[in-house]
Amino acid sequence: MEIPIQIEEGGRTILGMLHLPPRRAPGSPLILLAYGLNGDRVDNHRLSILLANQAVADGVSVVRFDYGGCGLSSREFHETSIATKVADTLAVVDFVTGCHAGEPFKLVLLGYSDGIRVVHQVMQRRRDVAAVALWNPIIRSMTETFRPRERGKMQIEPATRKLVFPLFGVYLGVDYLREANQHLDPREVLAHDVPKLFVFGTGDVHTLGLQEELKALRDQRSRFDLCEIEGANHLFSRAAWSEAVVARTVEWVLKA
Amino acid sequence: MLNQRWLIRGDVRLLAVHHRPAEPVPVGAAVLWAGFSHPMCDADYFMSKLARQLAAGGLFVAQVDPRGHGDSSGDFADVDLDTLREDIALALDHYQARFPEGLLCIGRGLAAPLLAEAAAGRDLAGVAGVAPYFLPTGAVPPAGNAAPADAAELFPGRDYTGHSDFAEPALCLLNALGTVPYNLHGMRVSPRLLQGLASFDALAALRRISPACALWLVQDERDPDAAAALRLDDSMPAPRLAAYRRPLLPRNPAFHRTAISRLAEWALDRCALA
Repeated sequence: MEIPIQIEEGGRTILGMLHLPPRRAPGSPLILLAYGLNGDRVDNHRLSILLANQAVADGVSVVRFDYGGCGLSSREFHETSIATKVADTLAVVDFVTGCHAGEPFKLVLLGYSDGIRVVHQVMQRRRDVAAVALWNPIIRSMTETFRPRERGKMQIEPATRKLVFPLFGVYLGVDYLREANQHLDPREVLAHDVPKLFVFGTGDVHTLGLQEELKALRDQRSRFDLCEIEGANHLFSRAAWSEAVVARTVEWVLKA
Repeated sequence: MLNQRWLIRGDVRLLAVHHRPAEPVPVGAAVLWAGFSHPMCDADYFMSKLARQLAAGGLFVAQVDPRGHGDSSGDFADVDLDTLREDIALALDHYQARFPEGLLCIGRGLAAPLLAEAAAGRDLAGVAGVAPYFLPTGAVPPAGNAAPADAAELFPGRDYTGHSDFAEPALCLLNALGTVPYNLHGMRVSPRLLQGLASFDALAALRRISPACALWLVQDERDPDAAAALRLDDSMPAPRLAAYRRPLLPRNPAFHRTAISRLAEWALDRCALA
């Protein structure tokens, strides 16, 4: 069952989709998807739909939504920041908790790419997160992530006269830029005391450094699960890669 | 004001997002259709930005996902020109019943000629296309009858920003359809779609719309931030795939802004005349 949902948060109208399996046991998992930078709730090659269909078939609920300024939700992208994404995510957590009306469920946060920043901050504010899965998480600063030819110069956004940064076909606001330019230490994420899964494409040039860092940390007895999709790039842009990342994640969520 | 609705016909369930203007009575209505393979918000949220601007001008706006796209039902591997035509008909039947006068359609890439085709038999206020697919019959090479294949095998390449390792004909076709490799790769494409494109006369479909009721926008060749209107009259030589060497909807927010302003101005003019 797919239920369109709508939430008002901080003057933003958040549009999302709640996927519920036909039968679910009390305490069964619900995955909340926190996508990266300028993504949307469907994501490239419908990766989120693939996840939702697989999860629901295995008795797991999923909520996908667009942050304010992204996808179908209200506001412009240059008004979006990590802080607004965190506020929107917390509002969605409150909403789905209310939908369960006291019925227990296991909240699993799934961060994709720089969605790790949102997941990390939500974890700092909520104690009821049961597990965290991260797909190709990006922790290094945005200026390190993008090659010079992908970076424009700061500009004035014509409608608001605010300083913005042209990023592909959208304007990125300075708040986002400031937040995303801070390096996130993986040990801060590992410090959250819940089961954690990292899924990497071994061909993802944006996360190769983190992959090595995590392997070293695992040798120092940090506890987390690591899954590698052989050859996959940052977007998992082959049908076989996206099927693998979805299957391995749902399998892990059911065991976590 | 925003909300989401299902449009249902038989087993087909399409998601629509409605933008209602602040005015109690809209000055007109518009149905927006994203580029091929993209969800209704479109690449770089182009259609969502356009929807907000149109609603601010007083129009009721519906963004719709065809089946196999975005949140609608179905698998992308089953999408072909016929399913797209059926889904456009479903949406137009629904919104034309609600807005018998002053209904506009705006589509990007492949959606533009398909909307034009559907509009030909209806009394619509206008059709607009952003970087429209305007290839005549035979411009796309015919495809075989193989099973649906990953787009990454059909159109191989790994450089999603510079497209340096993509074959030019493949990249031209993707540009023409209004898609981008980073979105399409990972989805299986039906050979029926490619067969349909080989025999589709999109140029004729666009030309069926009176120039007075149509607007076909592309990036201006001289100014990357400006939008230019294409004239698709009979004096124009038959376009070839190579016409799409560069994407006609560039990833340039300044161009998006000018194109959206121009479309909004056109839409308000069309509604005033309806």
